Amino acid sequence: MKKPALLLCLVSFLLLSCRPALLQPPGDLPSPPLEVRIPSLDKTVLANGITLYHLEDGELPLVSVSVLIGAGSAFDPKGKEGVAELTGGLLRTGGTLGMASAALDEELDFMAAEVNVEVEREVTWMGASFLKEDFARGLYLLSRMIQEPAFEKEKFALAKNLKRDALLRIPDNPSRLAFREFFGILYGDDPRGRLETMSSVEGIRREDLVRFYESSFFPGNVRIAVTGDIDAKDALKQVEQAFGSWRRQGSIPVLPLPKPHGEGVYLLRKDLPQSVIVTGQIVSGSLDEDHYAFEVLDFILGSGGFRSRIFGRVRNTLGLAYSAGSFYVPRGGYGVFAAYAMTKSGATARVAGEIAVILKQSGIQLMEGEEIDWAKESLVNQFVFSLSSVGKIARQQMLIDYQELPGDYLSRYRENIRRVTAEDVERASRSRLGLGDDLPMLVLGDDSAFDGSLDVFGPVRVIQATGLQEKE
Amino acid sequence: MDKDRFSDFLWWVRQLAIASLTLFFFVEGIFVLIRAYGSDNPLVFIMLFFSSNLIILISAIGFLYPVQKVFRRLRGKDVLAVLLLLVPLLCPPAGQGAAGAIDLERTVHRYTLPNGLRLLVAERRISPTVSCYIRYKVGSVDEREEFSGTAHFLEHLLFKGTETIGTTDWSREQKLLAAVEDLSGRLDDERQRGAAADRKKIEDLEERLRALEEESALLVKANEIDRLYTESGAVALNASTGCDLTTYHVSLPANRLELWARIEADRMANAVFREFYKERQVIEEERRQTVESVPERMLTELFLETAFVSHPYRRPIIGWPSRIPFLDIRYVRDFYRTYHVPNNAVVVVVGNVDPDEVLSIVTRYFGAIPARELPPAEMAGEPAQAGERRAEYRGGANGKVIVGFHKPTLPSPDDTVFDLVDLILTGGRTSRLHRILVEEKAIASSVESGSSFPGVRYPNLFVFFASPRAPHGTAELETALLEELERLRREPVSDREIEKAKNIYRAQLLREMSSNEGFASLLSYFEIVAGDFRYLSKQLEAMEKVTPDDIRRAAAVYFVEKNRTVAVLNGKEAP
Repeated sequence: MKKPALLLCLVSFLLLSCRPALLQPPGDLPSPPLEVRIPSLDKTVLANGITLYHLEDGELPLVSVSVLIGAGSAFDPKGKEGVAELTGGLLRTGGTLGMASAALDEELDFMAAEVNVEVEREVTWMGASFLKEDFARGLYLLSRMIQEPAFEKEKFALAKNLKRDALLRIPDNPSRLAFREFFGILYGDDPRGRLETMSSVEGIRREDLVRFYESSFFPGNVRIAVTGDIDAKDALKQVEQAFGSWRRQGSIPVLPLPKPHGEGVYLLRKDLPQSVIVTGQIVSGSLDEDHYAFEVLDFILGSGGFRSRIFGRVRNTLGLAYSAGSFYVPRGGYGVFAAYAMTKSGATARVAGEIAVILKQSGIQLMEGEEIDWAKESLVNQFVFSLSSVGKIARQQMLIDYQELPGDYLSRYRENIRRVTAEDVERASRSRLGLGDDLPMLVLGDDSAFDGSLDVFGPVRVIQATGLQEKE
Repeated sequence: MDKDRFSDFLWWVRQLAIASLTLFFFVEGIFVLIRAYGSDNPLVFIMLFFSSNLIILISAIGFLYPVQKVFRRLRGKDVLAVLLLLVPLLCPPAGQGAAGAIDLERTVHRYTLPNGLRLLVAERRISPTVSCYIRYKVGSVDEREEFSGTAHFLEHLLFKGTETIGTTDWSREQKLLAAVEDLSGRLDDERQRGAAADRKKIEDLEERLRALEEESALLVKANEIDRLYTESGAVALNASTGCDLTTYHVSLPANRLELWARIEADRMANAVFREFYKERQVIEEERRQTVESVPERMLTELFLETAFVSHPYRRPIIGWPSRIPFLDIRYVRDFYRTYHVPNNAVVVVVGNVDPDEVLSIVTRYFGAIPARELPPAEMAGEPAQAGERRAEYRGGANGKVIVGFHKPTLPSPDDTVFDLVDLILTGGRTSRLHRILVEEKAIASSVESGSSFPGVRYPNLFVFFASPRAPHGTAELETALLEELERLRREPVSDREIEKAKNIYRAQLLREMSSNEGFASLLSYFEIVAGDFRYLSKQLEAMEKVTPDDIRRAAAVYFVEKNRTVAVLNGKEAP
């Protein structure tokens, strides 16, 4: 018995030491087939119109709730920008008709619940996480916040003051300031482009919140996802109990799609050692034909990590930035694309020029096959991470339904990416980004230290931060 | 919850009873069938034959029923879920269920390779993905003062490839790199002479360096590590350098684990610092972006320089702006060879993997990397503070106050007490400082705290970051904050407050564990700083025992004026 065992050890040792694991080219390593299964969500429409999504994962004793409300800051009344954000915030902090905010906060904190609200341009998200044992009570409290908010006066005054403080602090963070102003320019007169200002917030009264709430928060405009350690039957029962008696009609105006807008250079002066450069455009959305081509284009231009063109050129080859790249956010009928870099004042014109050239080239120079294949392969392989948690799957599906994307959007995503050709990508770039010439560009920085004039990119307009000054 | 457990228990008892009963009849049926063949009376045979068949058929169906029920219940859940289900049945629930129910020891497999590399694996079935963390017990505290910024620079350079990744011809590239290194060293030397430097010589060297860099660039496959990972579907590929630790992490589709091992083992042993000259400029940009352009980050640097006199916690991780342009590649290499060794590292893999297979892959790739003896940590100790220290930073920004107190680090029992103090003071909307400073007195727009700043390997600070809400100033906010700390020294906190803080701590832990990344991060963190991930369970136990008196005592010892450092950010003009 002893001898063969010894021999086996010796042989395996020899085999191990002979095999130069580290010399194998990493590209040749085996990758066993990966089974990617898209879990099917339980979806139910309650009698009052709320759509309920459910997906179970019993690994940890936690239950999460995500609520998607189809209204956001783009629905702010003109001149009262900030109403949607304050309304969302007050749902969480302003108490309910049956329970004062102090008692509500105390109970939620004691059960270690997390409840938060995020107001975006077109939608509002409420998210909550409860320990399994607290779920029924937690869901009930959440349902009261949504159905019977009290908008307590003191909490409203506090929220308004905090909002003003947050606005005053925006310039302390250069990239936040730059992106805020850039989106204002990009959307232009579109309601999505209206920015909260000191004076718009100042003018908001509690009744504005109540009015906004009444027009936007009704069952037909609400989707709820319950995920985690709970089965479908229980989830449905609890949500029915908490939300089933909520009856309210309402309708939400349909926002027109934003149009490509703005051109030339917008210079925002600030005494900084480094400039922020942002350029971009309103582009195709996930409902558009060239959506997948744009995903690939954006990946190649600046969101595909170190190897993408903007990052590779500006950071790696030139050493002129730490952050540089692009992003593409598709939203149903339209999308937003932006490219950016932060670079020392003395390299601002140079880097702006590099980005402009890269954008222009993507529309005229034939893309190398290898680069396209790399981008498509990456996007296809990354897809599995959109399924990495039950909460993520549910939120994604809610958004897909809200944006009225095809029901098989997820299951056909990889196939659609694989189908994109180099010509598709170039066409998407040409038609949506022009040849890079007409895109608005925002530069934040100290222009006295720039390495050259920005007027080669179009007429330069000096702008001020929009409405961030305290009134005299 | 107990009621649920009991009904679960009944459910299992019922399924088991049905299964064993039907199994009994099934076996009985087979015996009857055998006996039928033993009979020589044809009538008895027919009777036994048919009745036995009937028994077998009915009992088989009866047996399949509970089997199918159990199968359906287990499908979609994994072993951990079953464990969670069963463990509470076997032992009564301890304290508040939740985190108490997580059996870390059973969930996490821990191995140590002969070269000292520690490996932790946790198997999870949420999705076919895996998160991998590698942490080295090295950070900016381990650098020599004049090369401050080296640990962070090294982390950047480890994305540049190895002898077999990122090059088309290593033997040629190697020679060119040596020449680049020599030239850039001479260039740095000349530049460091400042005003006395020879301009002509600098220009000449720059010219030659540029030519050499261009030549070697032809042999470089730039960003190859990133390409390999990205193409295989990796997300969250990143690294971070702290004062104590350096971390490399990535999440991959589960079938690409071997690629990860190939890349990571290679860069642990054979990293090549190509393009280092450009990368140093990237770090200058990083500093401009994340520190110089953000006044509150400038304030934080000033705060640390003030709070620590001799301990390296006083130094910025990214390095001093005056030193980054001269970070020396030879020292970086020394630092790499000394600290990026298997016996100074922890590898954690969490996801849809088989622990045995992970062990075999990790052994195959990392097993051959030799261990190296680590140098003793000759750390300049921090002298006891003997009086308040203050600093002010004036920049064109809104006000900010940082207040800090020296305190011991883990495994001191006081460290656990401060984790609770942190939550009592700023954890949630009903925490003391949020309620009083933000809501009642309404003089702050935010108050945060941290119980272990800036690191945990050495005695550290309990810190507060507070922003005054205009028109209230930093001085008013500081006074109000200190009043609350004074109250903590005088009056015991209520039982409910302490209970609430414990609940929040446990729930936060659970939430962190719920993602593969979070779990991998948590496990690797405690394994490297406390020497064993199971410190986490010990700490949870210790926390359960913390009393209001412990908190008052800790506050009375540490939250005192002579142990305090205050740094204030004010606008450019005097307030």
